[in-house]
Amino acid sequence: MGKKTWLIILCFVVMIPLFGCSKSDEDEQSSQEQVEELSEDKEAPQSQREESISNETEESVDVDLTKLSSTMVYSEVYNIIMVPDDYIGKTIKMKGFFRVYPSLETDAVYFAVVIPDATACCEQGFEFVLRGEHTYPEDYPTEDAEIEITGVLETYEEDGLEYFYVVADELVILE
Amino acid sequence: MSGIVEKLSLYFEYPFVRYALIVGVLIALCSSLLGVTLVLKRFSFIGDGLSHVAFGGIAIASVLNLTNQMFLVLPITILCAILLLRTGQNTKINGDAAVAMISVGALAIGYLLLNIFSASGNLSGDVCTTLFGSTSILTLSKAQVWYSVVLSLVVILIFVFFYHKIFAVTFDENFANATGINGKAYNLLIAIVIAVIIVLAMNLVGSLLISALVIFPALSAMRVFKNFKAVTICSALLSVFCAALGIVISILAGTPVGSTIVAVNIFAFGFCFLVDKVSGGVG
Repeated sequence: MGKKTWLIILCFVVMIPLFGCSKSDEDEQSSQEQVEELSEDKEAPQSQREESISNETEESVDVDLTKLSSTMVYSEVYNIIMVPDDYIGKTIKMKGFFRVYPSLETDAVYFAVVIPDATACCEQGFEFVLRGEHTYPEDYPTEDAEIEITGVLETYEEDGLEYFYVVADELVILE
Repeated sequence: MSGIVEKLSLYFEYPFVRYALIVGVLIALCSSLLGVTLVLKRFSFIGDGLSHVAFGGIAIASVLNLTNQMFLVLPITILCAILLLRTGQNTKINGDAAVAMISVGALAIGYLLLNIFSASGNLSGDVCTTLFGSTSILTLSKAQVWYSVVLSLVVILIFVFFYHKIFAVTFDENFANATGINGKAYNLLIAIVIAVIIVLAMNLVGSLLISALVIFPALSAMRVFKNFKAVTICSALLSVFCAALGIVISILAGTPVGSTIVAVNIFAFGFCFLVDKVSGGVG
């Protein structure tokens, strides 16, 4: 048999498992679905309400970085920083590490959530403020804690320069 | 499987993913076309050397605060490519030594300049991204995409229109000269095209991994085919497939783009090596 024939055969052999997975998953699911059907019918109203609430929450988030891989998150955050006008006023949900940056000139303390890239040599992130009255360090997590924030991207001016930050409605400390 | 497809559908909604695939595929195609010529002319490491020169150019451009670094990086890289590829047999420094000298010199001087003069807030991050191309291909602006597309198409057209001349100069430059082909001019053209490809490929895989993009597709294709045209076509198809698959895997798995593409190329080489062995060995 020639090299070309072997190459074609090996290509098909490699591709077979890619189609095999979905078919076997469907077979396994069909019998389980029959058993669960009755119990699902009873829980339908409750689950439908929960689903509609979670859909509403998801729909209110315009940019959900928590659903992306680390490579994608880094790239999208870079994109937001480079073209922020496309994202002003949009609700962003992001997960990263909590950082504190005290000002060297004033008493101000700035908070940020940063996301490292896959090689961990670079970080991108956003300054954020919690909506409402909060004091540091009582109302904030410890530095480098992994957190998740949801808020609206807005701008502010300081010393003649425009800055972008997330006004966070929610901060969740992740374990 | 359906979960992966759903996730990919979500990712493809992002324009920077589409840009990365378009530019990545074009760069991989260009690299593979010239890679066959470089491997046959035993200039496999020229990609590495020129990429280090380009890194040095980027360092100088950063220190000079140039808005568009390509205006400096491209001419410097082209100049060094011409110097390296046109080095004849009568020079005091042989070809491989000249490549090594220019390569390490440019890398060292570039890093030194960045450390002394750079105003970047994250120097090591910038250097790391330039060397390994972890997310560079995913952070291209529209202008950079158009720039890369135009340059890639020019490279492809040059290869298509001058295919026979490049073939002649690659295999037997003396015979090519004897038959009326201006070998020196075509060597100069190959040098310029290689420099352009190297500068473009730095966005995809970074400085340190460019050689893989040039070498692996050609070597993989040579395991399976022995005809120049077949090797070139196979190399191009392999390179495009590995680049596209590498980008998709890296965005799904959260791995650095450059290393993932090279890893896929290595698997492809292993696959072709296996085909060669199973079908009866080299010959």
